[in-house]
Amino acid sequence: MTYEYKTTAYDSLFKLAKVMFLDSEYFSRELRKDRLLSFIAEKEADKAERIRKLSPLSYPDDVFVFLASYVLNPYMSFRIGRHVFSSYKEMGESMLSYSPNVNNVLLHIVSYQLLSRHMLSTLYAKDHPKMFQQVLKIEKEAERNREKAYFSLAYFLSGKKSILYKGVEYKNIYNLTHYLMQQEKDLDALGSYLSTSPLIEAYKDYSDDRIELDVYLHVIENYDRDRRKLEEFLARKRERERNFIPFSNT
Amino acid sequence: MDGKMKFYLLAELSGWNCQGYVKDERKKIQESESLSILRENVRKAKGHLSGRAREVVRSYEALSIDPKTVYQAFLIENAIDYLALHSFPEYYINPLAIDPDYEGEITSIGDLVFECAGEEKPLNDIILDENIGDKVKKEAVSVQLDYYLSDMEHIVSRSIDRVKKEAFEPKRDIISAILRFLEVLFFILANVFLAVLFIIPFEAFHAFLFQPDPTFLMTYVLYGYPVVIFVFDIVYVLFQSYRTRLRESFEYARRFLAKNADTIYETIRQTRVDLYDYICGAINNRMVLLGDIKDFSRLKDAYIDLRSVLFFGNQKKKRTYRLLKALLITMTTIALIAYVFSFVVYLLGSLFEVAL
Repeated sequence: MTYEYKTTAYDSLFKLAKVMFLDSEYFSRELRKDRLLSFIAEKEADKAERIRKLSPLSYPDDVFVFLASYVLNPYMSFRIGRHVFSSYKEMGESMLSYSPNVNNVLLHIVSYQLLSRHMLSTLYAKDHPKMFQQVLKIEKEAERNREKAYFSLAYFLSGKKSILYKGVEYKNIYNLTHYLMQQEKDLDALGSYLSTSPLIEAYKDYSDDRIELDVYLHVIENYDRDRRKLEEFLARKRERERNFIPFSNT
Repeated sequence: MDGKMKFYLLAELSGWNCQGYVKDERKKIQESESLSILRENVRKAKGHLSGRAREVVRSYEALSIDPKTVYQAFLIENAIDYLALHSFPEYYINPLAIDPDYEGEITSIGDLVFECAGEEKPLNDIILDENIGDKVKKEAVSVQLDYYLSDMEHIVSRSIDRVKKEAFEPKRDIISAILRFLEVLFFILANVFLAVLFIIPFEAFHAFLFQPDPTFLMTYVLYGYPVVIFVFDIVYVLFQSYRTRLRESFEYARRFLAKNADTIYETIRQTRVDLYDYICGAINNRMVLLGDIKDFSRLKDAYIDLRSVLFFGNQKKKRTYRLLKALLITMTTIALIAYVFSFVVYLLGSLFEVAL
């Protein structure tokens, strides 16, 4: 029995798994249908069963297909949603290339702990325990701040110390701000964005400007927190004053 | 502080000189709503003895609004926001240490801000919050009351220190003691001399009483000296009465504290327990607290007025005290000149039995 996808007939689960990332939407549907599941079951019944158990879980298409494809072929290179990476370093660089934005497909890597799963699946974790622990730590951080975890993972994997911003690589913050001061017209919006940017937060841990960025983020955090608290307090106080009904003597 | 300044902060910290962007910030800070709130609140906070009120006042007075860098501008504005928030009575009033004569906007312990489950909220909101367990609420209350107790104990210990300092002051300040003695002595002498002027017969002198003659000095002595001494006496008596009234509660507190400090500490500890039970009762019954802000005050209780002890020094700065003291100094000087002049005229006249 073979499985046909786009004029190609697949008789190996390994080979089929390698192309599934190219069309997550299609395979997400197919993996829930009998045609593909019967083909998989015929080859390896336990793998079909494991995929059946994944189906009811509400994963996005890319994630579901990723998880299913590694059930079928645990040792292939990292591939998800039309992205394929020959190394983790390449993955990190690719993630950074979208900076200061994030790629929503690659964001799944930290949101659903896909890299640690991949490392376990390919036995990479066994050979590189320190790296694996660091990846777990970053993935854990995604529970609190997904985008920061995205950039942390990108910097960790790529090994870069420079900052990438809209496709341009700057050696440090000094160079970045110099460029932005000359090029950007809306410094107000830019300043507000950078002050809460997960890119800056993550970059801090990997750059040579760590102390300066620590001070910057600390000052901004305190400033924004105390301003917000004062404004909330004043708003509550004014609201209470508006709703105040004096006690009647009668 | 807008986004632009946040950008300049990043640039400055990375090594750029951004001093040029700070020029307008000083004016903006001076005109900010936060600073105007802080100024107004500090004025009110000065009348409170609680540690937090004093801390806010002290920090405000130490504040220098003259940023030289973007970084400094952020720190200053942040400090102002923080102090402005904590300068509201909800944050600094200590129900154990509140002035029993307080007539401000806070009427209930339920209005005070407590920290509970990582959030700062009015106690009444915490009591009514169904998402927080009673145990957590009571723990938060206990922590806050421990602070109130330690703050109140600190007020008592400051009062005792103050009393000890005052008690030893007269011994150290010999000059002021001598001056006080001379002041009393002159008061007596000036009045005795006034009596002598009219009681002891001196014909040449007394003649001017019924036939005043402006060409004779004795006329001025007879009519001028009594008027000066009369005014001096009034000012002297007024000042001494006022000073005694100011010292009255202080002196009582001084005597009481010297022997009964332990009683005060026990009383405030018991009050903390009573207050805890009171609030826990409200938590158990989901009842908001109303009109009770002064019910647990131990600042001026049956035993002692701690406020009078700690504010005793400040009372000397009051306008009435300063006015009376200035008047007394002026009148003493005038009376002294009048006394010497009249005494010399009287002495020479009586010695040579002539009208001068």
